[in-house]
Amino acid sequence: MNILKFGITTVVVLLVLELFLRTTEIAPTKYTRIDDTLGLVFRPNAPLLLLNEGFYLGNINAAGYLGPVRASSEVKRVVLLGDSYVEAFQVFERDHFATLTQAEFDQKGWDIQLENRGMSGFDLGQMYCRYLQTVVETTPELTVFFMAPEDFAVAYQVLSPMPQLTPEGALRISYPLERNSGISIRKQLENNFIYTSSTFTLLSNCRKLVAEGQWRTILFDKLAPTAETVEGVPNKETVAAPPLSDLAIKILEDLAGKPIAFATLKPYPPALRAQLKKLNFPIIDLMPEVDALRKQGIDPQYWEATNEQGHYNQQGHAAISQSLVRQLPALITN
Amino acid sequence: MLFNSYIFLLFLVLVIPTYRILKGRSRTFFLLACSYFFYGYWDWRFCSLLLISTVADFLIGQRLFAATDDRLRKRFLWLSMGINLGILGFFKYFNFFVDSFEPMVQSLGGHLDFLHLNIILPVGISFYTFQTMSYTIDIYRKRIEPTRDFWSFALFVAFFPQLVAGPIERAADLLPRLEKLGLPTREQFRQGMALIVTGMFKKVMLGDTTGRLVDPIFAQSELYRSDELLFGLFLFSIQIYADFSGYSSIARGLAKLLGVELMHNFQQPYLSSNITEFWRRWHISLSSWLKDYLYISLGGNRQGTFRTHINLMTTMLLGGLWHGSNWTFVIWGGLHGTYLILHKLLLKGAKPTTHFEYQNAGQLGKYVLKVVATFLLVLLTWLFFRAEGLGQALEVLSSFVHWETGEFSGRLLKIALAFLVVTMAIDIAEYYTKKHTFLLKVPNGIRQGIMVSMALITLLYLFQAKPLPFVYFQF
Repeated sequence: MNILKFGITTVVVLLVLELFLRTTEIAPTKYTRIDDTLGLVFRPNAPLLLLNEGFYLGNINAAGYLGPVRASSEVKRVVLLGDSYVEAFQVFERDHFATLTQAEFDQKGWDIQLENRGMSGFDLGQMYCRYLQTVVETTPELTVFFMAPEDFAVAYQVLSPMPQLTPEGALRISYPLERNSGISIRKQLENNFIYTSSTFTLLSNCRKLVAEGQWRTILFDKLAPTAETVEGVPNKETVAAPPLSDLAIKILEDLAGKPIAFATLKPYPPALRAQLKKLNFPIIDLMPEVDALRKQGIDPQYWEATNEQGHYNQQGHAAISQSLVRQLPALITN
Repeated sequence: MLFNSYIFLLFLVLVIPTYRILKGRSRTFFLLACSYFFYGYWDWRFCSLLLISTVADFLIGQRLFAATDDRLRKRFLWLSMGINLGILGFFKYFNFFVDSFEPMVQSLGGHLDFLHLNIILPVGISFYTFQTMSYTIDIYRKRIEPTRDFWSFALFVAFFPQLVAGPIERAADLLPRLEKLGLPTREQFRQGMALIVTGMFKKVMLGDTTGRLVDPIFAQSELYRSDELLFGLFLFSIQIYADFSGYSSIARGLAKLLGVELMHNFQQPYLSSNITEFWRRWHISLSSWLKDYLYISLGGNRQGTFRTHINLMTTMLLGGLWHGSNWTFVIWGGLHGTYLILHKLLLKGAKPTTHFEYQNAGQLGKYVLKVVATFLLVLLTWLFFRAEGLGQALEVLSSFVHWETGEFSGRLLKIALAFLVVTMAIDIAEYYTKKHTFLLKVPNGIRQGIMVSMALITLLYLFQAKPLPFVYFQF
């Protein structure tokens, strides 16, 4: 009888706690899912409360990207593709550079609308696929690829489509399902079961930390083996940008001639800059305004609450916005 | 070492069984070694401060007791106060006083920049300093005799369950228990486990989670709208309570696992129907310390109404300053002092309500209204307590006057209510049963189900979120 009482109580209390976790959004359900052809996508209308460096509170829009859905065909659309620096789940939507830039355009009465399609972890390969799969058909006036030099390296993606070179040297997109049939079961499990529950999402996060070897530091703190002995994923920020691979060059060549610009917050190496110039891609240099902030003694990547360096803070976003307001209109008009 | 960390749980897994194996005197040495390891885990250099306080008060206590001349006794008392308050003052208030005097010196053409020191505040210094001071004062007042057992006294100063954030124990209560260390009874063990599980849940799932939301808001309050600031302030009121009362429950639970009883530190303060009752339920070990060693020393309520109010205000202002070297804490104390004086005036000598017993719906309604009013008064004081400085506190207040709503009002309200409901559910269960171990009132299988679920979610959350230090560690 006691075992039965124990079992029923455990289930009931876990359900109550699941409700608590969801309502307070402290352990939200996953806001992404794996799509067969697109790979990692945002769940439309998913609420988000994230505390990475800063504080983000918002929603994925009904169309599955960030910021308001802009449907008018009367205006010139600019799509922003990029990684976590564009996604920017550290600041409220109203402080995001896309929102600030949009507000500036609106104030000036310019018919330009920005769409933020940034997604954490995206590199050239994924942005290329996402561009072909979802952006081209909407015929934007301009698509801006926000890319640091190291983002031009095309990494292997297990669950996302990725560009590949055929033996004949042609470019094609390979899909996760054709590379590994087992993905389907994992994807189904994650999409329909694990990521729809806060408790299971917590469990899944813990599993990932264990798989990454971080359990040693979590359990043993200062007494854990030193970082050198722990296998970890190298931080792409600290890795020097490699020379462009054949695949990256092929992708850039394929994108040439389309209304695309590259924007950067880090100087491109001369070879990369020359390659982009050769293919006639405009380069939006976002550094002057951000560097001006630094010269004033303001660190645009410092987060006071966590005392960490990381993504751009609200002041950084304001500077990036100023830079875009200065440079974007000319690219659209041209 | 933080209670809300896996390394501490591992530490505990080693300490509790080993303690049970040991016998007699070796238990004292073992717990003392564990306590110094626990404290030294932050920074081993701070162990020297513990040792200085211990040796000084042990020796002074004996000399003070042996002395018959009143002047000599007073000198020993002042020597103890000088050492303890000297250490506390240097580490905690040195820069504060330099900062406070700087404008005056600057106006006279001088500067005090050279006096600024890069001082790291030792964790929990205010707690163990007050605890050792109470030992000497009690000997001076002839309430206790000094112990001759140095090792037990050293453990009294350094006992790890309550070393860094209290409860601030009195020697008369804790020392005899530490001198006769024994194994916990079965009931103590059950109570200890229940306290640790509920304490950890409060600390990790309510205190840390609200803290993570509060910190970015107060780090850059100028970026947030009025409703978001109010949300931050409200969540801070939950954070500080869940954090500190959770810590106190864990501390009491740990001590019980070692067969030692510690005093209550919180008794559902947010269910108080007036401010006097609030102070009888909030941080009880500090408020009773201030009452016994400061308020009464100043004359208490024995010298007329006006002097009583002055004594009360002085006690609350110094109580505020105890929390930290910032004028915001002084204002926090001042506000509470004002509330208490006003309440005394309103009472006109009558005794304040101290516990609610249900009689009818009307009386319950009145009680709820009073609880809400008391909470709102306390909430205002938390603004000064949490603000990074006086400027920020005033800016936030100004934002409340010039109200501006953000785009997430409904969502913030929902989140705040969810935290409130869970916090109050635990509090009401404690209030109703008059026990922090309310879970023990529940039949066996159900109780185990509740405890396992709470522990499971807490441990999962703790695994994937960096533990936040206790708010009161900085004090």
